[in-house]
Amino acid sequence: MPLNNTHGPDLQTKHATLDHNDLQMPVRVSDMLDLEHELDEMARDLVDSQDQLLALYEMNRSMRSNADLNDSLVTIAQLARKLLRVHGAFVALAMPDQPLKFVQDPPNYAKDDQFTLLCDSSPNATREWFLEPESQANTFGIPIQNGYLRRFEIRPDVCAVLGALNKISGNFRSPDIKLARSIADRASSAIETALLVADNIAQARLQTEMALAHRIQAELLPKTTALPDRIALAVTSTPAREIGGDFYDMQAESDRPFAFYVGDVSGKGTSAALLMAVTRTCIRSQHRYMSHPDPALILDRVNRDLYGDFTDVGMFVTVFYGQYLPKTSELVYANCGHSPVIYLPSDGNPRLLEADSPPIGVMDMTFCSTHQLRFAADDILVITSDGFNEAANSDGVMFGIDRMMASIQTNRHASAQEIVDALIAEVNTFAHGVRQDDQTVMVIKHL
Amino acid sequence: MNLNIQEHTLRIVVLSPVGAIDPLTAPTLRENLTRLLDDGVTGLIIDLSQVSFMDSAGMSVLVTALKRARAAGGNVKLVWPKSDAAKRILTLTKFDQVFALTNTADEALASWKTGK
Repeated sequence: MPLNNTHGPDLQTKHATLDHNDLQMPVRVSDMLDLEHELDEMARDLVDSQDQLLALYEMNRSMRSNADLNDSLVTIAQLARKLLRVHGAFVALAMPDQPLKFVQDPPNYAKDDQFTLLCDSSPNATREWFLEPESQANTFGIPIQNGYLRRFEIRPDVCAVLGALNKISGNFRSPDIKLARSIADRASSAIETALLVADNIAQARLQTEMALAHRIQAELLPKTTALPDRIALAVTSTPAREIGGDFYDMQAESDRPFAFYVGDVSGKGTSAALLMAVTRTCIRSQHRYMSHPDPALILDRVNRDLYGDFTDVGMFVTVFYGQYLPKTSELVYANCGHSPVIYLPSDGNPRLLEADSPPIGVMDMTFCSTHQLRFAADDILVITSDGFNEAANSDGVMFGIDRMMASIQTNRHASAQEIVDALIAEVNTFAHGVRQDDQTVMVIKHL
Repeated sequence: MNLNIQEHTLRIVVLSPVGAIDPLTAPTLRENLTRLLDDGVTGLIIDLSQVSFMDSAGMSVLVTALKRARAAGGNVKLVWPKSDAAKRILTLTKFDQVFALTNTADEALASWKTGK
């Protein structure tokens, strides 16, 4: 403020002004000091913000290369410790049906047996809290000067806690909290990415295993076999999923009658496929080693062998087992709950060969008998699983046994393979190409 | 005079599913049957009169319940479905040899009382 004016009248006025200004000076200095202080604060905040941005950039860069969940958790803990300038940092991850994942930096810094309590995924759970110097000492097993914990959700049933324990200097300030929140946000998306990658890997592994199982199951079902003279056989089996519970087999052995069979394990998928393989092996063994391989006796022995296993898993299997006897031009067969089996004699109409016993695995004994059937020139036998007759169209109407019989009758002069192809085509057309169940069809035709 | 009085109460539960019993709906029936059997109920009547269709998944559920009930000294009785499709699976697969079948739930209850 200038004080060099010495004019009379003006002087008085000036003096008065000077007096007034002199009174304002301490106030203005105080304002300036306040402003300066605010500027310092803003500059410090700016520096902090810049530090945070740089820190988050570094974190983003570090996290980008991590796809593994454990590696991600380790990186989060390491970066949180470094960026928040604390002696120890941790991240605890709670997922359903899995033990708590807990990673800290440095390793073994704090006791980790209490962290499950922190991961409360309820909507009203505390999102963030500070640790008092002494109250939490027993929880973490180390002296706590200060601490900040933040809970964050990754999925509705997956939550985590980021913890920072013991600032290297001072206490947690507002920029530290903002930074910790940003780290938690970034950690949330990094963990979600790692979980998605883990899900995809698990899915890919499952698909690979299922493809392998599909290939093995397909290998179990024979493509060709030596057939008796004047017998044509065509067969195909398509599971509704990668693997299924349907099976078929043919056995041509020098001292045994030619045998063929079709089975259908209740249910679908892996469990059905496992029991399908067991049942097929069991029938093969009985057919090969039984001194007189009578069809009804074979199925009864198979039932005795497998009843316990099927009971344990609450499933059963329907089986139609037949043999061709060329000397008498006959089929002998036994049927445990399998349907439909359609016999079309050359001189008559198709008829259903109904079961006379419940499926294998339902009771501890079977009631089936061995039946005989003429099987001479142009006679046809068609054995399918229920995936054909129960195939439904969009109105819920099933293809049914009558349509199957009509198809077979229409194509009675066609080859065994053509009868198979026609039946599949008709069912597919009827059900608009939607396969709801495993589909197996075996056609045997006497030439 | 000595007078010994014994009172026996037979607990029989009637379940009446409606609609199709297939791979989608069978688990619900299985859960209910399992819960009842876990609670000690060994007398079960499953009224299939309003069941439109039943496949092997449904039959598996019934067979499992039957085995558990019989192992505990009880039984599972069925009421014939009115639908031909559902009736046919019982006859074609010969499950009519496995289960006691009646035309109504009342008949099933009466047969239990008379021990038939």
